[in-house]
Amino acid sequence: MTVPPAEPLAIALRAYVPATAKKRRKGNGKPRREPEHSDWALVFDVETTIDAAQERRIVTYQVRHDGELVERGIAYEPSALDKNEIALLKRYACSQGFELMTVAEFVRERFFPVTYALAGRCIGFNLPFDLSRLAIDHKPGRTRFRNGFIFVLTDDPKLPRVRVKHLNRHAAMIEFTVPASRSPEQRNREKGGSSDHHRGFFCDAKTLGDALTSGSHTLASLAKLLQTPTQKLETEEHGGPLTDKYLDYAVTDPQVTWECFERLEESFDRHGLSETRLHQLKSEATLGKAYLAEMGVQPWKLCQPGFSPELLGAVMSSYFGGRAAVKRRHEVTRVLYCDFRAMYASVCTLLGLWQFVTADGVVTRGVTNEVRELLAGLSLDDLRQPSFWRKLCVLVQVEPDADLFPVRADYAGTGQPSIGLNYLSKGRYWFTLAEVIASALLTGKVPRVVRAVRFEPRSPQEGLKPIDILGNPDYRIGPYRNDFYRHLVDLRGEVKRECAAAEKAGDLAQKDRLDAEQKVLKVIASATSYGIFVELNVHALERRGERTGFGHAGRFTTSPARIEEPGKFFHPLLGTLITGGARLMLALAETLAAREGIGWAFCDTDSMAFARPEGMEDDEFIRRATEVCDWFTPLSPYADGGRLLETEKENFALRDGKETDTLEPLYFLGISAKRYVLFNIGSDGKPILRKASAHGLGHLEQLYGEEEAPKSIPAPVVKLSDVGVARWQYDLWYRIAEAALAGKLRELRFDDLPGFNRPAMASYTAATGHMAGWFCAYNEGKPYREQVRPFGFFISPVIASDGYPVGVDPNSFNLVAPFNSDQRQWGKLRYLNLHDPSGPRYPISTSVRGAEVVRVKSYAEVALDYLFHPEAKSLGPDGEPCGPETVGELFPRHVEASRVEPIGKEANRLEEIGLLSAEEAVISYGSTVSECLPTLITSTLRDIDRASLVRLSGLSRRALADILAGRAYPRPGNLKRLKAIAARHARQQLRAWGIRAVGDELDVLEQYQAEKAKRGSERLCEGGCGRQLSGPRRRFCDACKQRTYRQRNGW
Amino acid sequence: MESKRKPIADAREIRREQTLRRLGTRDAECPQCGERDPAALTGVAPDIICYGCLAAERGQPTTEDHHFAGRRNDELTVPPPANDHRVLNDLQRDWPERTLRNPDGSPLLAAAAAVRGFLDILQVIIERMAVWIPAYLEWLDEELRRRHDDRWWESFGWKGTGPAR
Repeated sequence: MTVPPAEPLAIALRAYVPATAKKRRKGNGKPRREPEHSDWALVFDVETTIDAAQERRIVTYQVRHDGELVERGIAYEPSALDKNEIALLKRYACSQGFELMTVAEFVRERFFPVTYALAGRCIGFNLPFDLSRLAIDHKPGRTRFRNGFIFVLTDDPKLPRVRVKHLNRHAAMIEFTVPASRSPEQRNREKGGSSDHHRGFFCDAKTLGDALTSGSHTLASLAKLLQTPTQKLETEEHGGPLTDKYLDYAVTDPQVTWECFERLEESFDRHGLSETRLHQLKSEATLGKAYLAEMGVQPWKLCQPGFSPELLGAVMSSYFGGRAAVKRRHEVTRVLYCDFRAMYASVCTLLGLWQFVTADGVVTRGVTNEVRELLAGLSLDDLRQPSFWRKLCVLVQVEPDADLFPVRADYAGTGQPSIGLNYLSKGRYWFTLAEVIASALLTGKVPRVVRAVRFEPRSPQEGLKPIDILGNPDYRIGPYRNDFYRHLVDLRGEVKRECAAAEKAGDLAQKDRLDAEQKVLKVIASATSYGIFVELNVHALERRGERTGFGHAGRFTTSPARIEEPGKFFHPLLGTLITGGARLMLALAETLAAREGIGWAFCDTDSMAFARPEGMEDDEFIRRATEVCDWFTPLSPYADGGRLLETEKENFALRDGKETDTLEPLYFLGISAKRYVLFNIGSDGKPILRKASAHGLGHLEQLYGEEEAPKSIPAPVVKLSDVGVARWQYDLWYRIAEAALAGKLRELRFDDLPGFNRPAMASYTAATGHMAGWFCAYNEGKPYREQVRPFGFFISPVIASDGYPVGVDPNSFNLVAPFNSDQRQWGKLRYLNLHDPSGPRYPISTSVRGAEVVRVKSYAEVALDYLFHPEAKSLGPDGEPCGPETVGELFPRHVEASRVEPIGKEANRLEEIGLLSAEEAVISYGSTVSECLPTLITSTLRDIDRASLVRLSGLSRRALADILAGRAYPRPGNLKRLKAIAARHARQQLRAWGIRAVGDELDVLEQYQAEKAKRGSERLCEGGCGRQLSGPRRRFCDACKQRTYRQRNGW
Repeated sequence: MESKRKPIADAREIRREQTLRRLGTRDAECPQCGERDPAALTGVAPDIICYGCLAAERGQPTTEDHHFAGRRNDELTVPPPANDHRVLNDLQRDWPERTLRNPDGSPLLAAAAAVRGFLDILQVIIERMAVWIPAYLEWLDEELRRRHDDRWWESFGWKGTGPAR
């Protein structure tokens, strides 16, 4: 493979900035008692209007004691209903035996008595929304709830408020405040937790369902999945006049929610986790942490608090996450789609990471020579030995020179970095040994190793306890005796076999039970094997202050606006080793495929689709791809000796919508990483979609459901949930696959699909204080119930690049409008710019742009943009960065790091993605950071005469020498000054070359270095005349030297 | 504004929940005598004890003086066991504030308090001293049927009750 020429690009590496230590809770030293909930429960659901305010209309509820139904009722908002509707409600409540009251009465007489006075559980589906609808006012959250909300539900000062902080689309923190009426002493005592005050027991069935089933559910889909006796009813009457049918629908919701909750509680109880309460469950990760806590595993950060932060910075800089790439673009390719069995759990077992989890710390050992020798003598056979993988718990500092490594950079120039496996040159970086081996395999040359550090677990922690998974003694795992991950996957395999046997024998009850068990085992394996080790929770800081961070080149100073707080089991070493191991697996598959003479079409974290080369017989292709899969079998750590790389169900033919054992040719069409479709070709030459991606489309409002789908597109053969997309996305992919098969991808248009000519509209929830703040101006003068409130919905059109009104800055122009469910109205609404909420309201149009009219994209345009989305992190067959029109095989780019920016979590503030500038979405520690020093600043400073540098910087000659040689690190003030000196020099030189310097200091430095590299080793006169100098030590040309001399002496 | 709607739980139930939270467990029980009424228990789980056993441990009298009509209505006291006294005090908290405090010394309110106090004592007798008796007799009948036969009383030489069968 020819290495393309290097291009200077700023790269980003993760860094570690320690969060401030938490204040210790005052108390008597005794462990804090967790209050327990009572046997009471309130289940409720709020039905709202469908206008912008989404005002509450009715609340349906159930009060239960010990699971038994005590009372069912309906509460109504008198101002939102007319006389007839209230009369209907009275008749309905009377006939059905429901209590009837107003919402204010419900809050006073049912909500607070049950959930607060009686310490009962408050159960709902998507509780933050329902609670926000009960509120009569809200205030901004503080401290832990910063950027969240405090909801005022009643005027009674003796009753608490409810505070809610959105965590992600699955979960929120919800709790009662301490009522304001308490005396300061009482409040302090109650905050300290030694009294009978409690913070409430809020159980969101959505959060529990998503965590316990590893999915994202609506109430209907959850009820379906859990097979509850009562299923959610459907209605089209939202917002319309109340009818008996609509009331039937509304009163069913709390019943369905309760039944789902009961099932989920049963499922949680089966885990037998005594240390964790159901209402504390926020995600799969909570479950994983609960299992480790149950075994008595102490978090690594507590076992080894003094671990070198510099090394931790190096570890963080080597973390890149899973690999996702597309190799064939815009070409229909015959593939065999394969997937590694429990990839992360397998890597954990192969690397022996369970010993790290249960150890009371890690020890490090320098193994530079050992690693150099290992790399020099490496063969594929070594990598086939499970024992070899145990040697891979090593971090290696390399000096890359066109080596293939994961590189995080802003390839597309959008400000949002993405990670690509690309050639990297220049600088020193840390990678896992697995990634270094992967590079060696793919390039055929060993990267230059500067330093290598092996990590070994210290002795096991004392007092670890065995646990019975699902409370079953047959599923006992001993932390000292078993490898937790291997045992879990083995158990799951066993249960799945028993489940299949039960199905064959017709024992459906047994089959259902075992199927539920195997799903739970899967959840536990995924919950404990990766995410919890790299859990970082981002908090906005109230005050920016200078902090010390640690990155790939040591310490630096930064003043971030947000900080990352490590999760309980934060152990980034394990996180980076796991993903590094998974990347090596994919690199092995790629190498083996090349050895077998076949290609690959795409890969995504734990899966790869092998591609049939042109002219190869199908049977031959399958044989060779199977050879690759079989190669991995000796690496399988599992008792059943099955394959590690398995063929996925999409490769098999369908009969009556179910997979058979017969292989059916599967085709792939890819656009970019994670944007692809897999399909079979029917006898009529049309595609039969098996799997498609919704990546990049998920934020758009659904155009239509299955019922309104166009007749011209055949209905899906497999369930849409199995395909992985909504119906309108399915239709879009169908059209793309159909056009690709006909070779008419360029001529493809979507305008004839229903609704595709409407403005493309993204929908959001005002889940954070920041987002709710955008509607302050809109809300002004409106009564509270008519305002756009927290957790209300709003819409935002996708603005065309040429659609901005004259004179506005596109970087600070995003349109939003309160929610409107009527798609036909979207084009008629007036939208406000969220960067200037009190400014003018803009009309939109999909066709014309005027002085004030904003041209927005239609769904058809968005679909075309989606289809031609460039895969910027790769090169096309022509050697140019992949553009919209690029077709064919993609290749790695060659990056020369012009500067390194330390960053924090990239996938951050996800709920605001699309409305934030890309820079806002990433935590950057870079603006004041010295990590740029070695690559950009120092090389520029070296171009300046040393005596002048001493004079300008105020530093001693020795201090400067040490800094420029990398032996010393400048203080923040000095760093700032040096950066400014370097930038001034760069500007002057650029001007001398006749180039206009643009951007901030770092941009100018980058521009200067790029230009300098382009001009080779030429040195120019510092007098500003632009003449080239001959000798290496000369600073001025003769003319300038004379002129300066004359000026200085006043001649 | 007072609501006419029936409350979801009475004040005693709410106090019981609060006491359970103070005790730190929902299975509060005196390990020495088995007392389970939260009003009669003190301490924090797992160190819970009833007032009766606590008094005995400290060498104090196990009965306490109870102002059955309320301290402000009548100085007359009765000497119930310590645990029953706590339960009676808890019941007094359900009385109307004016009746319990009787700030003006109204004789009618004092009379109402005396009647309420008497009824409370009856309630405690019923709930804590007699309510277990029928359940115990039913259990005993079941046990004797299991050990002997369905007409176990005949083996004791007793006659059955009711009309001859």
